[in-house]
Amino acid sequence: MNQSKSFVRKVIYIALVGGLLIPLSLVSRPATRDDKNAIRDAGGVLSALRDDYELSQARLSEIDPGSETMKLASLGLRGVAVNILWMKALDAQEKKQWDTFSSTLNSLVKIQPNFIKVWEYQGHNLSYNTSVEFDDYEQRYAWVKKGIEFLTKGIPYNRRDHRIIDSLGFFSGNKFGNADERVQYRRLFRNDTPFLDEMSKFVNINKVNNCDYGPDHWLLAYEWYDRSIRMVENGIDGTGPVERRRKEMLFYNYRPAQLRNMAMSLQSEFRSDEYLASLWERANREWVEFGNRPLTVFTGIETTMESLLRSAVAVQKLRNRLDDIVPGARNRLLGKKIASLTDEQRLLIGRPVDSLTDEEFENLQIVQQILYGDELQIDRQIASQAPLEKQKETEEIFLKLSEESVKLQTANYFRSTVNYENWKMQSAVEHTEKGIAARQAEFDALELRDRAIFDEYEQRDPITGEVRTLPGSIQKFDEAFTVWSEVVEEEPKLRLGPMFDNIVTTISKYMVVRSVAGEDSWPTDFILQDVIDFRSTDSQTSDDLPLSADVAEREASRNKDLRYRMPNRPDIEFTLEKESDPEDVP
Amino acid sequence: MVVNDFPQIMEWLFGSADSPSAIYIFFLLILAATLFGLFFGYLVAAFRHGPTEAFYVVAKVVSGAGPDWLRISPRRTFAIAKLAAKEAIRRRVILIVFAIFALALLFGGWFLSGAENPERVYINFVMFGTQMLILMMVMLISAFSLPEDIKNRTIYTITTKPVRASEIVVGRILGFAGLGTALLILMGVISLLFVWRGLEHRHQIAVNENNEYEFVEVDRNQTGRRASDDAVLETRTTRDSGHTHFVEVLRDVRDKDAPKPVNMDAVIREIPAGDKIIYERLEIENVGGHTHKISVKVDRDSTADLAELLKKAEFNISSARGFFRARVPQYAEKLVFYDRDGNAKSRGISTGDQWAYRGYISGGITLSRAEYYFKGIKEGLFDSSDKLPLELTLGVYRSKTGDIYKQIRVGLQFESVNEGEGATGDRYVSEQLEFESEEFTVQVKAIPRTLPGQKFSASGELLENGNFDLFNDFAKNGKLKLTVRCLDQDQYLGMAKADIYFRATDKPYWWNFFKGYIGIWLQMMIVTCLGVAFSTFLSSPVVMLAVICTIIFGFFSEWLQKLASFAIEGGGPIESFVRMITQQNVSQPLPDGIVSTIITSIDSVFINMVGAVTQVVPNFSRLDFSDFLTYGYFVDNDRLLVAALISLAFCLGLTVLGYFCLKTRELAA
Repeated sequence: MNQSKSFVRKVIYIALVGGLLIPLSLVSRPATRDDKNAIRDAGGVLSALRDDYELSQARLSEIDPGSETMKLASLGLRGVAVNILWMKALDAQEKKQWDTFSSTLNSLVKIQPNFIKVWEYQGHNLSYNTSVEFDDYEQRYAWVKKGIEFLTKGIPYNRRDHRIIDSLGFFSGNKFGNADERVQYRRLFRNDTPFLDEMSKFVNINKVNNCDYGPDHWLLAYEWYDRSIRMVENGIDGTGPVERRRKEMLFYNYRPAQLRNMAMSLQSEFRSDEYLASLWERANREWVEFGNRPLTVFTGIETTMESLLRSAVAVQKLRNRLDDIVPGARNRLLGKKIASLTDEQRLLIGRPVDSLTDEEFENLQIVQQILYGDELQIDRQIASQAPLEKQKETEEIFLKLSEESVKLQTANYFRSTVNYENWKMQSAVEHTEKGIAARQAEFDALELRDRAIFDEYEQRDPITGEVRTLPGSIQKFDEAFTVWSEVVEEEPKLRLGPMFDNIVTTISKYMVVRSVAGEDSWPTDFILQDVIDFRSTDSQTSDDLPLSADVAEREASRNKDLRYRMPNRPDIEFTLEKESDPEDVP
Repeated sequence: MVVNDFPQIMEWLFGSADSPSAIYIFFLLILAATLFGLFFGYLVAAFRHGPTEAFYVVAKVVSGAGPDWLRISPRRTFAIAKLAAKEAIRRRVILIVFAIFALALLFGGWFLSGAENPERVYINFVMFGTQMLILMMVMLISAFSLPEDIKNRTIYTITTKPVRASEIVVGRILGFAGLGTALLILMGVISLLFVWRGLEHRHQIAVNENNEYEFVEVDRNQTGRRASDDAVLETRTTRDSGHTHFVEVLRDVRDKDAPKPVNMDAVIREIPAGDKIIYERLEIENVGGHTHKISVKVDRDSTADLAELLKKAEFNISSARGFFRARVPQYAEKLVFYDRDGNAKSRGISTGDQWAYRGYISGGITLSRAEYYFKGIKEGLFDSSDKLPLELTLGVYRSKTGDIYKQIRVGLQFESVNEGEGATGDRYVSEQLEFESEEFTVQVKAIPRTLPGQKFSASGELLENGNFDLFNDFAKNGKLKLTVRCLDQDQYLGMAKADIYFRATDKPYWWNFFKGYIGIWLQMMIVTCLGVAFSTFLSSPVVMLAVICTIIFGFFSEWLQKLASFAIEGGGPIESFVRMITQQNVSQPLPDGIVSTIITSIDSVFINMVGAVTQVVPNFSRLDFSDFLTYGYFVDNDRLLVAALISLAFCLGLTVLGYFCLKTRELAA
């Protein structure tokens, strides 16, 4: 009797378990799709919730048995398992047990596959922190790749999140292209067919290979960022656009920036040519396209970086209209503000900036802030002083003015954040004939320097016997600087941009070459002297190059009487050829 | 592999200048446990029977213990063991554990293939899996056995028979342990087969799109240091087991009378060139600790272009070689560092590394160096008496970038140590061997038996310049000094005692594997004893919880000891919680004030409690030899013996505890 009771109980339990499995399977049934990726079955409630919160793989084809097994094997103690694995990974990293570290990370992400920060953090750990632990640059390169490959494993788990893709773009571009070992990394990358094959699973590798100089990692980075933008704009696999999780302006800035970075890398490695000119042109075109992209200021209000001037003109026009309606009001209000200043502050207005001390300059900025810092406030007051019949009109003008003013400020902020103007000018100049000619001359100068040909030299033609004078490194540098001086004359704004920062580095090399060649390291009539002098007035730049004043001082010291007499034998007189005080020589 | 200093067994047992004797500590602990046991037993008895009666009760239990243990019957103990085993089998825990194990092995291969160092991953997987499953199984069967019997009153069917409490405790321990042992053996054998099967693979030479073998010229600009110095052509193998190998064609130039290459099957052509012979031969790159033997069939007399010739060749690549090693390292007895001024130090220069395992020596014009003192170096220890394999794992620290294309150079110099038996008074100093370091890699240097060097008299006078024998001259008394120098100015080389060793003849792998499993077996024995001892006075769920806690404390005891010594940033449980919710950095001290004082005071109580517990729970990491197997090192006997003695001490203690608790329970009943 007892046995039969027990048997019946067991049967009931099994039946209940089986019965409960049916609703469970219904609510957690994953979505299924047909060959064209259209939804055939939307799946159960739980599955839909998971999909909404992007917590796990809600489609049958995406379920990773490894990850699921690991999650199940932790028997609900996922948190504990995660902690243990993190401790193990940190310990292995501290003890430099890289195999253990790497395999622990692989286990870790199997139980935390949807935690984006884990992928980003540990991918960075592999590519940036672990790689530099190795003494051999080839090993470093291998570990940078490991970080990238690690991140690619996160893509299937996080199909609706672009942050891993962005990191992949950043690692592929920045780590290979800006590290100390960038020359070696870029060389290794060009020949790394297995890695390119691996990347071809995720990006269009033909586009990465679309370079006269072989595959380029900046193009790989470009493809990653392109994928990220496509995810946000068009979505993936017909599932609709994914949410953008980075600031719009920064998010769209990365893709075109890769082309510029690539052009800069290539021109430091190869002699500029048509390909580089076309690359710069493309970089410029895409950068301007980015400049024309509408970026959100507030909900419903957009602006573009290229519309800065338009907004400025619009603001000015609207202000003029206000001033026309309420004539003299602006001056009156400004006058009141001036009257509120102290005598000391008032004296600063109108003084040339060159004549101000640092403290006075700071005070002047405060004064300007008081007078013009909140012009909208003045505009509001002017609008309120309008005659009654014009009140409605001035209100409308003021509203438009406010909007345009905010657009103007935002466009200005965006432009300064991504250094828009400078990059635009540089990419516009670099693909011109002058830009290419200057870069070619720079490249030749450095090549000649490496061959220890510093000054011009004569070469006899073995057939005709004709003797020709060929330029040395110094002459080539001079040639480059002559072209650059013409370029900055045409576009003076370039004097303070990153392009000229790069030219300053070249000038430093030029100085070394001149010294080695036995000449003054700094020529008396240096063609870019005006630009160097101008840059010295900017607080943001620190070139550490001789200024006109230094050169003049040097020349003066050269011309002074250098005859010396021995103190005890004044009849003996000798002359020093050069001033030997090193502090006087730039 | 990280190997911390470990004493010899006798040193450990009887103590040395640095560490107290283990026997002494053991007896101290016995004494403390006895006193505590008596006191605690009296308290319990006093609570049950009153203070006066308690004396008699305790005396009775203690006096009865001697005869109980002395008259223990092996037959009855065995019968109880058999019964315990039968009962455990009936519970089907073993079946479930084995099923999980089988499933893990069936699908484990999915996650393990493609790893860079497959042997390490496979060994780690089976060792960790076996360890966890076995410990879980013995914990479950031992935790549920006695409490269930007591709860169901089936214990009375035994206790009413003339069976002693000691026999019940020992019998159960033996029964469960026997079952665990049988399962462990089975799992061990299957694991070994699984690892062997998982690592077994072959490759083919990869073909191009025209289905031809394509050997391309080695371009140093592209290959960097990867290609061997004398490689002229290279290709790849097919991708199998998640990896490929580079296959190189070497132009190996040798003297006519020099020995031929070991693998003559891999020789493509032999080209005589004056008094030399050029062997054009194939070699497969080592990947993840293994390589393959390659043989080639080709028209050896052909004078065709090498790459063309290889297009039509037939290749045969063997299965993997180089896995399943049990290297026997001959570590130095002593390591002495010297700073830049030549002063001896016990630790090297610090380069700011958080991990202080390795000490550094500075390079260039400085007196900084490291001296390794070896003893017991004799001819029979090594595979070949012509060359001594010296293995080095060096750390590198660059204080400036230097030449990126070159690694930091190492200088090795051998010297005799004229002390003790066999010392001649003459001193031999070898010339310096120089090579580039390879960080994080086990570099193998074959040290020739005959080394060029100088012989000095005891007074320091140069007697002879010439070639001297490593065994008969340098290490005549078995002692040898190895001086390591860093040769690059302003750069540093890091090393620990276990980073440089002579590699003696390898031991059989299966024996090492077995030793690794002995480690798991020892852990299993402790957990079994824990389970049985706890189950004499606790209910099943509490036993399980207690055993799990002990296991966790055991596995993390080193970390917990660090925590208990306040060496871990972030503070105790409350402070950590506060930091988490307020998102405070762990390295920043808590703001001063009453709240901080309260938090740290409560935390220090917790932390001290944790510290106290770590002192009494077994340190499972000392019984874990999986690292040795993972990195291919032989588990030395001293380490194993110490682990066995530690386990024995714990098992004895726990058995005695179980006995007294059961005895008390009987009395209570």
